[in-house]
Amino acid sequence: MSSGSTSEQDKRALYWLGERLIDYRHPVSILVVIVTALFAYWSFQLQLATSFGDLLPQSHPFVQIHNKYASTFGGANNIQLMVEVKEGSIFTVPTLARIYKITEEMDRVYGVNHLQIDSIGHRSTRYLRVQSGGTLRSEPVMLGVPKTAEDAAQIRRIVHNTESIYGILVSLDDRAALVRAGFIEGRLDYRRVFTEMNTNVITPFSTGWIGALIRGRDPLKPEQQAPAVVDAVYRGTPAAAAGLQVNDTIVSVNGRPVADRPELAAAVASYRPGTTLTLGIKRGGNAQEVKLTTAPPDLTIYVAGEPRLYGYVYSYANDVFWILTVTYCLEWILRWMYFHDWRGALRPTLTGVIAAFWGLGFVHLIGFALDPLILVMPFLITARAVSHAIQMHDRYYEEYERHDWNQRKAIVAAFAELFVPTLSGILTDAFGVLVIMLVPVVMLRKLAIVASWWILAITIAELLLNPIVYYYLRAPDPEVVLARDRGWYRRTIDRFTDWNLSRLGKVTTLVFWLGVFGVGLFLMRGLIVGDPTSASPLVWQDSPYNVSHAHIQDKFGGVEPLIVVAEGKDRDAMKDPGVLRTMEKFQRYLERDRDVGYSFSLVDILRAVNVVSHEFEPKWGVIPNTARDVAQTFFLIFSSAPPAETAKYVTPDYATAHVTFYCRNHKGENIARIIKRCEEFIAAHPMEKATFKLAGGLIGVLAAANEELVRNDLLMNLLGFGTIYVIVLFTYRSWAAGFYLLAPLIISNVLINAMMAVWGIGVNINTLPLVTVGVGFGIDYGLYIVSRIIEEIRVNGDLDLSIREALVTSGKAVSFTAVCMVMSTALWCYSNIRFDAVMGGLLAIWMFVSFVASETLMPVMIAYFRPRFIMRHAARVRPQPAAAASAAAVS
Amino acid sequence: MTLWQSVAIVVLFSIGVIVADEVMHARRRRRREREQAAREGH
Repeated sequence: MSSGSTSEQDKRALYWLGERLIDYRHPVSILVVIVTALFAYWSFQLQLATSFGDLLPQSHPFVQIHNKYASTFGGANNIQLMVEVKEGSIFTVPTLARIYKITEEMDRVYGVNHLQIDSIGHRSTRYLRVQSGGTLRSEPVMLGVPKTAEDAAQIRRIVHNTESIYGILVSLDDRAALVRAGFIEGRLDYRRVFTEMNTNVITPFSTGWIGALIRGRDPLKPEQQAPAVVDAVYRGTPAAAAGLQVNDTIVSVNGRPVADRPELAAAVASYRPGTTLTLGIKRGGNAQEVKLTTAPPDLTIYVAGEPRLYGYVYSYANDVFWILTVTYCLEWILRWMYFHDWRGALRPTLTGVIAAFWGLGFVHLIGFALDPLILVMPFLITARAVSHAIQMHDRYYEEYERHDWNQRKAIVAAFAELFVPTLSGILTDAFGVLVIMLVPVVMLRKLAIVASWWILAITIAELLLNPIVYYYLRAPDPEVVLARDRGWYRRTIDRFTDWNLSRLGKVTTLVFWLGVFGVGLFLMRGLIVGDPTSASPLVWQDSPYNVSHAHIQDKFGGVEPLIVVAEGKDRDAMKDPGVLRTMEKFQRYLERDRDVGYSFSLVDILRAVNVVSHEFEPKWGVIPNTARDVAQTFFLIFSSAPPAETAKYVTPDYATAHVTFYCRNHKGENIARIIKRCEEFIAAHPMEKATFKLAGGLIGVLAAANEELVRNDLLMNLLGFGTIYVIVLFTYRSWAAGFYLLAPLIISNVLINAMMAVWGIGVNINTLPLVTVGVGFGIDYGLYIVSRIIEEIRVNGDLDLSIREALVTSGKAVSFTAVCMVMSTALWCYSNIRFDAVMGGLLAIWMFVSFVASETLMPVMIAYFRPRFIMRHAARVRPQPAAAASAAAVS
Repeated sequence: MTLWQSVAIVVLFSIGVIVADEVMHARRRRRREREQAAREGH
């Protein structure tokens, strides 16, 4: 055990500071409490939100093109809704009526761009109709809800004869129809979109469907309540069997009042199919009751797309509260078992809570909101705060015993002795995380500032307030302090330390870590940038979202858009046959890629119109030869459509249009390959009147994000380690110290990257901040142990003895700290958000590896190489006889 | 589970641990004092 006198002389200023903090405890604590209360107030106003623009690298040329054209040609936030019938085809009156109504409701969802809806039930999905006298008109496929079987058959004929609809909005087997909707990115409210989709778009037409068309709200008076009035009753359905009639108003289900269609649907959907319900109805002013037996839904609705995905993520975000509660309670029990005293459980909690208030309050102050996907981060930082507090508390007990149960002396000694490693640990984490600012993504930059501030705030509770809190709390019973140093935990640490420092232990340790490092390096070659699978890695593979996404991809080939803009140099550039032919060639070229489902451009419309205007002769499905003929063909279709509806294909001055490729997935490697092919084609096919510009749509912005990550990933890791190295350099005034302390971190970093590669976790905009924050985590383990070795060697002058003493004192506290930290992050494995679960698990493994390497590899390296930054302290002391004897016993 | 439910649980749990710990230590102190008094009595 270290002797205080030598150390006390070296750290006079810190001992003085500790004494003054206790002397001025009242003003200091009042000040901290007031500021913390302010931050607490701000923290409770914090919102959970995601700003889509903040997730994109705004300076990237792809994103700039995306921003310029997203409102007209479509953006990255689209919802794809697929209606699939279980039997027969969609061309029946009840199914087509529902597709029409679903489209209508989709158009009313908050944030939907009304000009970017594609569905056979939407006014902007048109076909060319030859009228009497030989004139052509473009008309919507469905002008209203079909009423007869002839109406349905007519719609089927139109769909089958329209190239831009059949196979694109209606599946080739006639069993499914697709409704696509683009969202205005500035008005994205994921939670609201999710709720409105469920209550207004999905439930009334699937699980809440009774076989009758119920009137919705009047589009011209959306704020007015619309009672559940029956507009149509279909044959062979529960509604028909129950005797419901047109103009009946349904007012209750099993006595539960229902005010409108969504409430009726929710009430019906809450019962199992086959249940007999009593519907309260009003018929001609009279209240009546009818019995209706529900049936299983005859169709399934699948929904995919980024807004839907984030909606699911938000709906799972409340997981954070049960994880917080369980973690808190488990940690309290663990700390109580370790310290045998409630003060040991409470003190780290105070540090964690104060730092959390300062951090969360600051998040609100800078106008940032928490993203549900980075909720692991606050846990991680709070776990860091708790970790420092455990070290301090353990040292306080140790000093309390050493100072003959003098509380004040123990408090000051613990504060002064741990000041340097604690501050170094905090600064390393705080500055290390700032390297995330290198990536030009607003969300990551805000996150870097917040995380850095939050980590720095740990100093307030841990260094400023800590001696005061100990002084206010009654000192523990001596038996409690002594009990901490007895028992199986201490015995295990003692035995393991002795083995690790034995000759066999040293060799085994070195060989083991060398092997781990080698295997890690080999496996991490498989690490990829971007998403590794076609399913979303944010939610579990069998989640409703991924199931829906897979179904839609299977049925329609590809739904994730890559928008390439053909930007004309002058007006009417899109009437030039040369430009149009290059666009067509581009489509055919990229469609050969296995991950591109199909493509769509102005050329497809042009060719289809040309065929219709030439009596449906397939040979006319070509681009006309002259600009004049092209213009005439465009006139045929666009002259009878409102300008707002044509804008999604071409700008009103015909200067700019787009080619949209619908890709099958957004795997990182596939995006990179598709973009490379695009660039190759563009380079090989220069156009005189226009230029292809990459790239909008989900695939375009993901390509931009992936490119930025590739550019900065290695640099960030190097700078992260560089920051740690510089802080360690100043802490120990040694060039070599950094190598010893960084070794465990580099190994755990390599191992985690290898695990990410093996488990199929890509580096993307969500994983990057967590992985970067993790770079520095674990450095404090090494700092506490090395500082303790130096402290001990100053007293006994013997390296082996000092290492052993450091490992059974500070090392023991480090091991307990690591157990607590690993547990608090590992609990995230039970989150419904797969991303949080995987990252929680990975970070837990990361901290565990850092801890084991700091407790085994680093001491063995120090014992082998006897670094000068430690040995120079030994040179200053004359070995004491007792110490020398102990050293001989150990070696 | 909501934020406030979570806060309520952790606060009650902490109070429970503190009270249980104090009761346990008080019992142990009293037992020790009784044993000491008994030893001194002999």
